[in-house]
Amino acid sequence: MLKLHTFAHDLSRLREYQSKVVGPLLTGFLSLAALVVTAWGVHEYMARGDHDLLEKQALSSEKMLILSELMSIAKTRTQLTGQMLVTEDFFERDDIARELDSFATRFYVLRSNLIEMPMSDSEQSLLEKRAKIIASILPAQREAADLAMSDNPVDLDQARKILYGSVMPGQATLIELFSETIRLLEEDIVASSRKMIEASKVGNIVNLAAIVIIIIGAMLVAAVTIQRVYDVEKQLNNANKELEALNNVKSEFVSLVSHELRTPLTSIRSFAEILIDDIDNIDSDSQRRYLNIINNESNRLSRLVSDILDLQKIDANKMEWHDSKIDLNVIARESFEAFSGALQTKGLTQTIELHDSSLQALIDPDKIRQVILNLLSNALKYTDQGGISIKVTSRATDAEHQLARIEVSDTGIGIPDEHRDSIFESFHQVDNSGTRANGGSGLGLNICQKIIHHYDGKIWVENNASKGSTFFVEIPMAA
Amino acid sequence: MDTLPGPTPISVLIAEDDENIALALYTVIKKAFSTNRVDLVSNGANAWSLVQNNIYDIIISDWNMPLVTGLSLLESTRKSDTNANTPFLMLTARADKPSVVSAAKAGASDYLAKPYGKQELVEKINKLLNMKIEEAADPESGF
Repeated sequence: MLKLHTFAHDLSRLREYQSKVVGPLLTGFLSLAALVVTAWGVHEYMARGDHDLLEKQALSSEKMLILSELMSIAKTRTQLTGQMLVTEDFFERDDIARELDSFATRFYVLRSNLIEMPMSDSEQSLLEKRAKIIASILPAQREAADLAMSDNPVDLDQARKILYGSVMPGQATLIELFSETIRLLEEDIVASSRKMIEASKVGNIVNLAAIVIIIIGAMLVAAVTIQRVYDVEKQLNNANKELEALNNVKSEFVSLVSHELRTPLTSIRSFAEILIDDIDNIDSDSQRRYLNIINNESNRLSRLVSDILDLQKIDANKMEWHDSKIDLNVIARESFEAFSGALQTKGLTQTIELHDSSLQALIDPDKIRQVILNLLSNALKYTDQGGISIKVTSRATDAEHQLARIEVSDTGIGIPDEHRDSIFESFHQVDNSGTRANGGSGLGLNICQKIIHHYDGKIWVENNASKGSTFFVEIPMAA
Repeated sequence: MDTLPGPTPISVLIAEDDENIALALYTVIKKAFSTNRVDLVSNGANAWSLVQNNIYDIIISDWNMPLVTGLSLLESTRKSDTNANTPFLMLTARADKPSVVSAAKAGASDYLAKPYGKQELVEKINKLLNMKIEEAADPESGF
């Protein structure tokens, strides 16, 4: 049927589907961004570890340079002192003494630089050892240097004694200590280099893990997004198919309406033309017959038009429902009485069976009357022998709810099983010729069904055990 | 121009399930043509049994009929021994293009969309009857 108003609803659903994509996409990309930031953080942390180690290495290297120079100064000074002692020339000795002084100055500057640098405990203890040696050999050295400046061979001998006896061994120890410190620093550098290599291995693994996580994350996000897009696309396709089906239903309906309008119009036009062209030569019985056909077909047309309008109103929610509390017994009896004459004419028996007490329903009396009249009219159309009956009963669905039931039975041609549901569709005809001959619009049962559904009721048909069929209508009773 | 097909009476088959339209067709044809036989049937199955046993000058059939549709009747008629070349006028309440095309493909001589006028109906029948006469007179047609 024409459900144009559902198109708007479907369109709003499409928009809803579209908005559904944005959410997961955003979440996905935010998760991915969080992953990237985390990986970058881990990478930075690792790099900072590397940086610390490098700084330590640089410091150790610097200390090593200073220590090497200190060591070489110590060696040079020992050599110079020795040289001074073997030199006969006083002035040369004086030069050497000056040189020794300048080395001493350089030595102290470097040493104080070294002391200011941060150092490990073992370096510290070595430094203290060196300080002790220096402290012990310094006065001896100075004494030896002073004596060496004398021209007295005794003094020179004394200087040599001091130099060989305490300064030289002291210097040797000092140099040894310097070497030991340098070795220590070298070991430090080697150890920290190893650490860095290890760290870089771990770093590589971490980096690799981060990359893998990012790739997996990206793939997950992509998969989820693709799945979502696919779902939405599927929903869109389904919605489109629904729209297409609706459109087809609409086209089919228009085509059927066109067919149903053209048929009576053909008769009307044909007989009107026959009468106009040749009225003088047509006997009065035929004239009456033709005019009757024109009249009947016009009525059929107007019924069809009003039924189409009714359906359209119900489908577009524009039907006015004037509900009031009514007794279904009364409506059933009145409707049945309206057919009494026609039933008598056809020689059909009439049976009416009402409920003992009144059956109140909140319903539009005109609408339920329309349903009952339609069912009776169908029963009359298809029954040539036997009779038609109407029965009003009720049944409880639970402690609080009751259903009123109206049954219209006939002894007519019955309804083939395969048509039991489809007869409630628009323009469905079990037998084309029958419906047309009887002047139905093909919309009656469709309208009945829509009216009953409006009241949350049910309408269906069953074939009788003996002959004909029974239409059932059930609607909730007023509380 | 006189379009009447001459003094030879014609035989007509009318297949139409709407009894009012069938009556109108019958009345118009009886009035406008000299006929020796007009058969009136309300479904395609009855029409087919008549087609198999009679030779008609023209067949007029509704498209939408119970049991056997006008289109099936047309297809069977074109394969029949009796009326393979009989003019076939299809009446249809659905004058949409696909319907017309499928009717033409199945061998309909012409079609009339409901609600047609009386004049239109007579002219179409005349045209189809004349076409048949011309074809029969034409040695090229093989008859």
